[in-house]
Amino acid sequence: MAHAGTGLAGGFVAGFLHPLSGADHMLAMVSVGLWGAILGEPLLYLLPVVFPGLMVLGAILGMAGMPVPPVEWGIAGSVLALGLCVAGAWRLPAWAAMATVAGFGLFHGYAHGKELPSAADPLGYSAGFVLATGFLHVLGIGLGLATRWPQGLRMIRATGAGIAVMGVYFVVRAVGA
Amino acid sequence: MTGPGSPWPLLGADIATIAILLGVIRSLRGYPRFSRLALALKVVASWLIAFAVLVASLSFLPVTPGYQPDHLE
Repeated sequence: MAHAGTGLAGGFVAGFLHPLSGADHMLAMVSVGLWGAILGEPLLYLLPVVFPGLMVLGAILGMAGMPVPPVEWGIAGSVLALGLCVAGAWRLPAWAAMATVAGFGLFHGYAHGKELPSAADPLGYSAGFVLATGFLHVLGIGLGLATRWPQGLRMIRATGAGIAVMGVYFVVRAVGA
Repeated sequence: MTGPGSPWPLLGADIATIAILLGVIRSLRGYPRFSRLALALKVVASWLIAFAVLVASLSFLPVTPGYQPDHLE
C-alpha cells in the first residue's frame, strides 16, 4: 500500500505528509529533481517550477470533481516514466521535458485535490502538500548534484532504474485494481 | 469576507511575499555571484504562486469533496 489514507483530521500536517506517505508520490517528486539535475540549467529549476503549476490545476480539477482518466494510472506511470528518464539520463528537448513533468503534475495534483479533507483545514492542507512537493524536488536536486562526478552519475542512474522498477510495480497494481 | 477563517488575508500576505521575492530576484540580476540565490528564490516564488492559486480557488469552490478513499486504497 502506497498510502495509509488521508483521514478526516487534515490540516497542514496531513497535507505535508500526503506526498511523503505514499511511495508513488515521493519517488516521482524526487525523480523530477534528479532528472532536472541530470539535464542541468535551465531545466534544473524549470522542472520544479512547472510541476507545482500543473499540480495546482490538477488539484482544482480534483476539488471540483471533474472527471479525468484513471488518476492512479497516471501517478503509477509517472513513477515508471520519470524513473526511466533518470536511469537513461535522457536529454529531451526542454519543451518535451517540461511537458512530461507538467502532465504528470496534473495527475499528482488531482489526487491531492480529490483527497483534500473538507472537514478540517483545506488551506493548511494545500500549503502542506505544495511545500512537501517542493521539498521533495529540492531533495532530488540535492541528490542529483552527485551527477557532477562519473561515479555519482552511475549511482543516480542506478537509483533511477530502481525507481522505474517500483514504477512497474505501481503500474501493474493500478491496472489490476 | 475577512472574518476568522477567511482566506483573503492569507492570500494577500502570500501575494505580497511573491511581489517582494520578485523584486529581490529582479534586483539580483546584475550580480552573477548571486545567480544561485536568484534561482532558489524563483523556485520558492513558484511554490507561493501555486499556493495563491489554490487559496483563491478554494474561495470560489462551493464545496470540497471531503474525505475520499485514497487513490490507492
